[in-house]
Amino acid sequence: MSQIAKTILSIFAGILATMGSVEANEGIDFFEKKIRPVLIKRCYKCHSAESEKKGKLKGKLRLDLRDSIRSQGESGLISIAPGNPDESNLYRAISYLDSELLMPPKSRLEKSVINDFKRWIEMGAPDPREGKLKQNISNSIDFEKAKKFWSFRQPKNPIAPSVKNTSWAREDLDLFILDKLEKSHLKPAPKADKRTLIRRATYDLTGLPPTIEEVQNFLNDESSDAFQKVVDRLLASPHYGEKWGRHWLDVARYADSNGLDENLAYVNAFRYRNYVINAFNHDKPYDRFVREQIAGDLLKPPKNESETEQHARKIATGFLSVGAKMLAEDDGRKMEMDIIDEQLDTLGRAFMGMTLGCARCHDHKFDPIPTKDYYALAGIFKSTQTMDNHKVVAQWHETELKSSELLNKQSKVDKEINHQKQVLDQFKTRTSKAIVEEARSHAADYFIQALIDIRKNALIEYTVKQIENNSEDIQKDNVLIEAEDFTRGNGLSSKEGYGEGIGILISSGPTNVEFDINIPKAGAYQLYMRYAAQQSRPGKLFVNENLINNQVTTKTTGTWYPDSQKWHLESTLDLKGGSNIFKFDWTTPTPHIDKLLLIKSSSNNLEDSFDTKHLNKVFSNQWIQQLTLAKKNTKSPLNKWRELIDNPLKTIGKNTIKDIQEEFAKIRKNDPLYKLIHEEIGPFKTPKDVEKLFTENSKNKLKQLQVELSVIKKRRPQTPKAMAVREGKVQDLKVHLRGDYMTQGELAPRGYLRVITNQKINNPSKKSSGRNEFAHWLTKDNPLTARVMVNRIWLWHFGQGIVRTPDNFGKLGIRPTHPKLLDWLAFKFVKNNWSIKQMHRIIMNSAAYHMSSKYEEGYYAIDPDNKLWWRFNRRRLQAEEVRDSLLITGNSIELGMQSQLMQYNPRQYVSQNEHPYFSGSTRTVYLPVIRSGTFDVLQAFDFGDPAVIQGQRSSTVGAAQALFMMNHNIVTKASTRLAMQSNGNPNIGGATVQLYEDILRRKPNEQETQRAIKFLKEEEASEQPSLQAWKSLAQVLLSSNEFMFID
Amino acid sequence: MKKGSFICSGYDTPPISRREMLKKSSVGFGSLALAGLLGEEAKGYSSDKENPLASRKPHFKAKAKRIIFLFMHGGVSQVDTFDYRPALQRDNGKAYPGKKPRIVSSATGDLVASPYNFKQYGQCGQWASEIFPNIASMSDELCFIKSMYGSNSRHGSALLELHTGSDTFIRPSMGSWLNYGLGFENQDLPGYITFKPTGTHGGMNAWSSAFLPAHYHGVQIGTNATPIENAKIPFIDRNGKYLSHQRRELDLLSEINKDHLNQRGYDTNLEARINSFELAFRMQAAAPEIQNIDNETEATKKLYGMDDPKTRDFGRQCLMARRYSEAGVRFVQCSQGYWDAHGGLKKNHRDVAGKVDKPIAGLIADMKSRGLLEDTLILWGTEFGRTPVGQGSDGRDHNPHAMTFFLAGAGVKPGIAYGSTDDHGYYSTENRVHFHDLQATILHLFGLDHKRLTYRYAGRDFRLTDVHGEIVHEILA
Repeated sequence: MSQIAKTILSIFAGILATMGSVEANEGIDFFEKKIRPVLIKRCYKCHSAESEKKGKLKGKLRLDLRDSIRSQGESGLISIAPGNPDESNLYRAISYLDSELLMPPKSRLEKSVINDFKRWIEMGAPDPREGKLKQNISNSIDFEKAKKFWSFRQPKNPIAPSVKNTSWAREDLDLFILDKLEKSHLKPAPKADKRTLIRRATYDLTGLPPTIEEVQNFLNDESSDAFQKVVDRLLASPHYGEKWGRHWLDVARYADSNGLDENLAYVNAFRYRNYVINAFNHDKPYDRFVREQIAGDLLKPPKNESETEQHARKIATGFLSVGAKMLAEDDGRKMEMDIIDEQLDTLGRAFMGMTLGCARCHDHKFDPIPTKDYYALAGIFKSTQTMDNHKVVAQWHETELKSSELLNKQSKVDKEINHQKQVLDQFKTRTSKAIVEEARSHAADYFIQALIDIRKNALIEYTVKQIENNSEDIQKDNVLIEAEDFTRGNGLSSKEGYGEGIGILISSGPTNVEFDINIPKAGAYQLYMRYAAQQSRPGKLFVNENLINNQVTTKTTGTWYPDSQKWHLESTLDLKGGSNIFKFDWTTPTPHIDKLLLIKSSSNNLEDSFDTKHLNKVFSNQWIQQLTLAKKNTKSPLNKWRELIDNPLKTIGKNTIKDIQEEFAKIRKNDPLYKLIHEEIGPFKTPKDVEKLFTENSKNKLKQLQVELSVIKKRRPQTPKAMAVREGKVQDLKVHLRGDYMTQGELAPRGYLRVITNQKINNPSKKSSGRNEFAHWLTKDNPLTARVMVNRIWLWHFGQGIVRTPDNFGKLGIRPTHPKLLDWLAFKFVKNNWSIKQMHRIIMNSAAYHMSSKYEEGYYAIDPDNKLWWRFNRRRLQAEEVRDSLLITGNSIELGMQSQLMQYNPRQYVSQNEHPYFSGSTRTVYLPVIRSGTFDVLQAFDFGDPAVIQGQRSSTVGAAQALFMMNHNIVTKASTRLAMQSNGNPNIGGATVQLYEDILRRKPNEQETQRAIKFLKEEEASEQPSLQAWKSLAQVLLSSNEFMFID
Repeated sequence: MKKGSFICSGYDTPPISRREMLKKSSVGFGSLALAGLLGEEAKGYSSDKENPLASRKPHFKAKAKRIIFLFMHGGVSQVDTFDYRPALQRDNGKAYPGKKPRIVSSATGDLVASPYNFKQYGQCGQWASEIFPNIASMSDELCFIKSMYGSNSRHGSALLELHTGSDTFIRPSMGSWLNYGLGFENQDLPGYITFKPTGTHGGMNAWSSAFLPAHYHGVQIGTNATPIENAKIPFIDRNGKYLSHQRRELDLLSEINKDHLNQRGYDTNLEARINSFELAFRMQAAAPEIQNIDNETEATKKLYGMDDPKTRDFGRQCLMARRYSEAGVRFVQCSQGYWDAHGGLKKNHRDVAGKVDKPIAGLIADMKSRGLLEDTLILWGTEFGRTPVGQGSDGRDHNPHAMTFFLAGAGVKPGIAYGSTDDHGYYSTENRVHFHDLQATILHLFGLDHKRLTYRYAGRDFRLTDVHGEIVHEILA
C-alpha cells in the first residue's frame, strides 16, 4: 500500500473515530465490545502503561493507546495498519502464522476473536483511546562515574605499610599481609618445617611429589638460600610448564573435542596445549602471551624469528578456536553469533575478569558494559574467521603450518612421485597401445560382429512390432509372450512401479513359473527375453522337462525399473510343433521380466556361426556404439554397407562377409575408413579400464609399479595443521536487540570497552578486523589485565585469590581482601616485564608462603575462611596430581611431552568408550580431554567442565573418590608394584619404613611401624606377610589423607 | 536399626521398604532410628548447613519427593502417538496450509497421515495410537501435555535444553538442581542416577552438575550400549576383593587418618574424607543390593515385561528405577532410543514403542500399587516432536514446535490432557508449555520456587529456568 493511501486511510479512520457518524459509532462499539476486552485480558500484562511501570513491558511495545498501537515496537514493524490486516504485525502475531512471532505467547486466541481483529482492522481500526507516549528515555551509563570502580582504576605502586613485627617479613608483599593481621590482632602461623615446604613447593610448581633424594638434599642444605635453590630448580624443570600450563588451560577451557551435538575430535588442539606448556616453561612475557592468543597471526614478527616461533604465534590463536561449539545448529547465523559470544565471554573473563557475555541481549545489568560495546567487540570477531562454514555439521578453520624444511622434504618426495608416475604411465601407454593395435588388425571382424549384433536387435524389435500388429506371416515363425501371462506358478504380475506401462512378471521369493507355448512349426528357435535387473538373478530353464540351460536371466541392466528393460538372447533350442512346456526355476525372486520371444532360426544363418573368439568384448561394444551413431550419420565412412546397417531383413551372405574383409584389407591411409579405425576417439579408442585387458604378466607388473608409487607417497610428510583463526570479511555489526539477529538496532562500529578507553573509539581500519589493535589495547594501560593475572598466580599458589572471584572483577565479583597488595603485585608484574617466573620467586620467597597450615582455634573462630592469611591453606591434590602421584609412586610414569594421543582422524566423531591411553602412563596433562565425556577419574576429582573457563577448581571430597581409591586399577596397580618391592624382604620393619618413604616421602615413627607390622601379620596370621598383605598396606597408605592433602 | 541395613546382603529378614520403615519409626521405634536414618552423614561437618548432602527443607510444602524421568531419545512423533489429529489423517498428501518454520533441520514435503490407527482409552477418553496399547490403558492415571515446545531443532541442543534449560551453554541439569535444592534423601546412595544415557548429543552435559558442586553430578550407570545387567555405578566393582578384607583395610586407614587429623586439629575436609570412605563402603553394599532383582516376584518381573527379550532391557531399567527411587534416590532417569525416524517411521516407532510400552505401564502400575506414586513423579518426554509433513512418504523431520509429554503421580492431575496443537499438529497453539515452564512446574512440585533456587557462579546468580519459566498451575492436583 502506498504511503498516501495509508495516510488517507488513517485520516479516514480518524474521522470515523471522531465525527460521531453512525458508522463511526458502530466502529467504536465494535472496538469496545470485541477488541478492547481482549486487549485488556490478553495483551496488557506485557504491553501497557501498567506493565511499563512494573518494568515488565515487552518488546518496547504498548497496545493501550491509539497512537502506540498504530506505531512500531522494538521490532520496527507496525502493530496495526488500519485497513490492512496483512501489514499489521499484531494481526500476524495473533494469527499464529509465524513460529517466531506467536502472540499471546501461551495460547492462541479463539478463531472468532482473530476474525474480529481482522474485521476491526479492515474497518480502519477505530480506536477512541487518546493519549501520547512519552519519549523513551534510555538509561545510558555514566562512564566517568563508572571508572571510579576499584578494578577500573589504574594500579599505582602502593607504599608498603609499616608493621610492628619487623622480623617476620621476607618480601615487601608480606608487609601488606602482616599489616592487616596486626590490625586484627592476629599473628601469622609459625614457619612450616622444611619437609612440608619442599613437598608444598614441588607439588605447587610441578604437580609431582618431591623424590626422597630431593627431600634429603634440601634437609641437608643449611645455606640461607636453600629454598630459593629449590624454587629455581623447579622453575627450570620441564614439569613446571606442565603444571602451570594446565592452570592456564583451565582458563582457556581447553579440550580435544567440541562437545555438545556432533562431538568431533579436535585432533590438532594439542598444539595449542603444548604451546601453552612451552610458553610457561620459557617464561614468555604474559603481555606477549595474551597478544599471541588473540592475534598471534597478525603480530609483527620479531627479528630473526624462527619458523617454529612463527608457527607458535599462529597456534596461539587456538585459544579462540578450541571452545565448545554446537556444530549442529540449523540456524547458521545463530551458530556464528553463539561462537563469537563464546569467544567474547571466555576472553573477557580470562583476561579482564569481565562478564562480557552478559551484555549480549541487554546492557550489562551490573557493570558499565552497554550492548553497543558488546557488539563493537563482537564486530572484531565477526571480522575474524574462526569457522570455514556454519553448516550442519560445521567446520572450524585450521591453518597449515608450512616450513622450509618440510617443503624441502615434500618436494624431494614429490620428485620421486612424479618420476614413478612417469614410469607407470609409460608402461601403461605402451601396453595399451599394443592391445589396441592388435585389435585394429581385426577391424573388419569387429565391424562384422557389430553389424550382426545391431541387426539382431533391430530384427527383434521388428519382429515384436509385427507380431503385435498381427502380421500372420511373422506369427508363423515367431512367438511373443507377455511374461506376466504365465500359465502356472508362484510368480506375480505387476503393472505399477517396476511394471508401470508394460506389465511384468515379478515375485517375492524363490519362484517357478511355467508357460505352455504353442509352436506353429517344429525347428530350431532362439529364445529372447526382455527384462530389467539391478542384480543378476540366474535361473534354470526346462523345456518339456529337459534341462536346457541352467544359467538363464543372468544379465544386469542397471535398475529394476521399466526404462532399464532390454532384450537378451537366452538360449537356442529345438522345439516340437504344438504345445511345449517352458519351465523357469529361480532360487531367488525373478528379474523383472516383460516379454519372451521365440524366433525361428533360419537354417543357413551365417550370422550365428560367425566366429568371434578372437574379438574382445570391450572393442565390440565400442563398435556397436559406432554403428548406432552411423545409423544417423549420412556421411559415415561405413556408408557403403548402409543397407545392411539399416535393414535387418536383408540377409548377410557368405560373400558379404568376404567382401567386407577384403574391403578393409585394401584401406589406404587417406581413406575415411582408415581414419575411423585409427582415430583416438573412434571404435578403437583406448578403453577407460584398459588395464583389465592386460595379460596377467602385465597386470602384475602394473600392480608392482602402483605399489611402489603408494609406498613413495606414504613417505611424503603431511603438512601439519593447527586450530587457528585468521582475518575474515571485515564488517561492523549492529546491536542485536535481545540478542536476536532478526531484530537489529543501531550500528556498533568495532571498538573497545568505553569504560576503559576514554578517548573516542579507536576505530580499527576497514581492511583489518581490529584484532591486533584489540590485543595491544588489552596489554597496554588496561588496568584489568595485570590485576587479573597476578590474582590468578596468587590463587594458584595459595588456593584462594586476593579477589576470590578470579573470573569476575565486576560489581558482582568479590572485592579484594588486600587491594593494595593486589596493586603492588600487578605493578611489580608489569615492571618485571610481565615475567610469571619472577612472580613465583617473589611469592614463594615470602613469609606468607612459608607459613604452616597449623589450626588455631581462636583464629578459626574469627576468620574461618582465612581471608587475612593467618596460615597457609591446606589443599587436596588436584585431579592430575592424584593420577600422576599414583603413577610416579608406583614407578610407572612416562614423563616426556606428548602430541595427540587420540586415535582419531581429523574431525572424526569421538566416543565415550574406554580409551587405552586412560590406563596408560603418560602425565595426565597429555590425556585428551573429551568434552561431554571427560575421563571419569578426572571427573571424580573436580577436573571440572572443560566447556567453560575455570579460574578456580572446586575441591570436594565424596564417595566417588573413596570408591576410586578402594577399587580403581590405577590404585591397585600402584599398590601391587610397591608391594612387590617389599614382598619377601625378611626385614619386615625395614620394608615397612621403605614403603612409608616411597609413598609419604618420610620415615614412619615407631608407633606407626609397629601398627603396620601388626596389620601385616594379622592379615597373614603368620610371621611372613604375603604379597596381598603388602598390597593392602600400600593401598591404605596411598589412600591416606597425608598422601591426598598438602599442608 | 542401622541405616540402610535393609538392603545389605546376608540378612535373612525380608526386605522392607523405606516407606514402611519410616512408618514404623514414626509409630513405635522412636526417633532414634529416624535420626540415624536421616542424619548420620552429618558427622564430619560442623552442621548440616556445611554438609552438601544433608537433606534440606524446600521453600514450601512439597508434593513430590522423587522423580523418575523416562527419556525417549531421538524425537517421538506426537502425531503418531498421543496427539491424534483427524485433519492430518484427512489431508494426507496435501500441502500444509500454514507456514513452515524459518529454521528447519531438513527439507520436508506435504502432509503425511499417521500410518497407525487411533482410538480412545479410559474414562478420560485419551486418544492414543495402536503402538502404545499398555500405556494408553493407564490413561486415567496420566496427565498429558500436548502443547510442549522447545527452541531448537537439533538433537544435541534440544536434549540439553530439556535437561538443563539451555540449548547454547553448559548448565547444571535438572537432577543436579533438585539435589542442590533438597539434598540427598538417602545418604548411602547418590541422589541422582541415570541409566544408560546416550553418549552423543551432549553426552555427559545432560547429567552434569556444571558449576554446581560435584556432589550433584548425575551418576551414570552404564552407557546406551551396555546391557542393563552389566551397568554399574563407576568404581564400585571390587574386582573380587572380599568386603571383609576391604573392611580391615578401611579400619587401618581410619586409624592412620585419625592420627593425621589429631596432629592437625580441626579440618572439615580431612574429616569429611575420613567419612567418605565409610559412605563409599556402605554404598558398595547398598547399590548392588538394589540392582539385584532376584527377590522380585515373577509376577512383578512380568509386569515390567522382563519375560520378553524385546522389553527385557528397558523393563529392567524401569524396575531398577523403582528400586532406587524407593530407596530415596531423588532423580532417576531411564533412557530409550532411538526415535529419530526421518525415514521408515512406521517400523521405527512401532519397534521402539514396543520396547517401552509394557515396561512403562508396568512401572506406573507397580508404583501405584505400592503407594509410591503419592510422592514420586513420573515424567515421560522427548527432545522434540516431529513434523506432520513428511520426509518421503514414511518419515518425519525434527519439530521443536510441538510435542507431547506425560506426567503421573505426585501432585499432578490424573486423567487429563492439557494444551493442544493446531489442526495438523505442527505447532503448539493452546496453553503452550515450554521446557522452561515444565522445569518451573517440576521444581514447584518439589516445593522449590524456580526463581529462588539460585546459585552464584562467576559473579552471577544462575537458575534452572534462567529468566524464563511459568508454572503450569492447571495441571497441578
